[in-house]
Amino acid sequence: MTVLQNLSIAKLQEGYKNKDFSVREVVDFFIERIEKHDNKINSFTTTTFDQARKLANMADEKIAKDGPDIIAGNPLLGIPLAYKDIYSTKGVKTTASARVLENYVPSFSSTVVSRLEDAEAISLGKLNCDAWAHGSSGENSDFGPTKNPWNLEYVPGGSSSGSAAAVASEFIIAATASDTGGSIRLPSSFCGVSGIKPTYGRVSRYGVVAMASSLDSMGLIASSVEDLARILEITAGKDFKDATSWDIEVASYSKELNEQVKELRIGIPAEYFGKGLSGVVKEKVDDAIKKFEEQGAQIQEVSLPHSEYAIPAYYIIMASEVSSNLARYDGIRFGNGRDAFGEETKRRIMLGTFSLSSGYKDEYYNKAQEVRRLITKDFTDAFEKVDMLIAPVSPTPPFKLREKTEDPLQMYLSDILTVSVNLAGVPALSLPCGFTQDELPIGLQLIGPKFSELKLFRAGYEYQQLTDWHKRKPQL
Amino acid sequence: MAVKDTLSEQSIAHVARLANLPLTIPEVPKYQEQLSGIINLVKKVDEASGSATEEKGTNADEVLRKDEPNSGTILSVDEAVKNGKRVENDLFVVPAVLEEV
Repeated sequence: MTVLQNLSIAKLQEGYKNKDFSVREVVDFFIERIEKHDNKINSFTTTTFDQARKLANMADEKIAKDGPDIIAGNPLLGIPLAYKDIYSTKGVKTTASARVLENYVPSFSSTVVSRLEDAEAISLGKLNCDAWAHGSSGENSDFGPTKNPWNLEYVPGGSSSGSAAAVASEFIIAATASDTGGSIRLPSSFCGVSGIKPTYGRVSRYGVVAMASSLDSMGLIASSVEDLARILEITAGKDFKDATSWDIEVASYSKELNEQVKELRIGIPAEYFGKGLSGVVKEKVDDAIKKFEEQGAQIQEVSLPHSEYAIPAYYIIMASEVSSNLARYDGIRFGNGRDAFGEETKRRIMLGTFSLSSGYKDEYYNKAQEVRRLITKDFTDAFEKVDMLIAPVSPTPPFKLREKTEDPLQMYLSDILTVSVNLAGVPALSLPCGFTQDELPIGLQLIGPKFSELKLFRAGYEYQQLTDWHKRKPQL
Repeated sequence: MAVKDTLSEQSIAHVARLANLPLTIPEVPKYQEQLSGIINLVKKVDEASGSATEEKGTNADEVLRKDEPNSGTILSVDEAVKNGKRVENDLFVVPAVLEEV
């Protein structure tokens, strides 16, 4: 069999067509890697290897019977993926990495999972995350933290910790993930992989354990922009089961990727490059800005004047919605009782309940909603001048395990450059853009107006044609 | 009112009761300290000024579906009760909310 490395959806499909390898061989290869290495990384909460092998055999039979052309009609045939453990999977445990749901087996699948199954993707299991997707480091999982595959002493970023770590470790081709305040972009950045946080409402939230319903965005993590594009064109689109999903046509992202964005205008938000930004992160993002400039992009400074209020507004709105969404977990219809909530979850429920409580609602929740409108307007104003913004994802490179767990405030500030995007509901693409001296990944984000995913993908694709940061893989 | 005053041990207990969260005795001072810190941070929203109109969150003009059973989202009784801790005659058994007089 051909050596399986630096794999992509296109490479796998080419291999299936040319009979270089079978789907079963590929699935066995990934299963073997997970069995050998995931005890160190802890990226999976549940594995579904038997089912995956069965689906692989069926895929091989289909290719043998109908010929390789069948791949065109089944765009993810034989592609190994896994789902963040907040995506409901019919008949497969869905825990949200929380003890409350440790034995919960859903009777239905989320829309995203159903669409990926219809496209014939093969799931290898469910991925670890911060419990209920609450966290920035991956350390809040009730089933143990995920480790950063680049250095096991460091956090992989959260909350989609398992999704990013499993893609970086080459356990899967891509993973579903979710971003409420940075939960796709932070772990993508810390693990050296690519992630898309789509426009709010671009992808159905149906069947995904809700964190903060006005902010939750269902996205993906993969090794390259090309693979993100190939999967987002399947998961995006109107779903009658989610009233906030938009009925706007989904572009054929992967087919239109190759076109350069003409006269691209990129804005540098001054507030994202200020005090607190580590030198090495600034240097690597500046290098990327130069690359875009060399390709003919016009670079100009812009301002997002209300950025300093983003963290306060976000933590009020998010916690308020969390307290409401988690009120349904009473241990009666499913799951364990409320005494099983972990520490961070309780903190957020308490903060949200306080912000919404009589006497404080105007001062906190209502005021935060006003600030949200101001932040949204900052973005609208900026996008009148430029096509997209470029910024670091995290003010620092990955930090060490347990470095911030005792100080929730410090942990919350990890999201300082990501939460505004969620408040404004706009899309952002996270790309690897370099490494520290200690070989820890650094990421940047391209932020665009609502429904500009294609433009972000084109710019990101072009960047990945010129650089090879996304091709680097950790030694496990 | 300063947050330190608002977040007394009693207010932590009050918020926990509103949130239906069972807290242990040692948890109360811990959350008192942590939440006071967090609330001091988020209070900053008060300083923001400017005006902006609300953008429409979705394009869903008609969010209500017809009041008819939809087989795409409805679970069978078996599916609906299978994760319940205590189920009798296809019904969930819940803690009593009325006291005997």
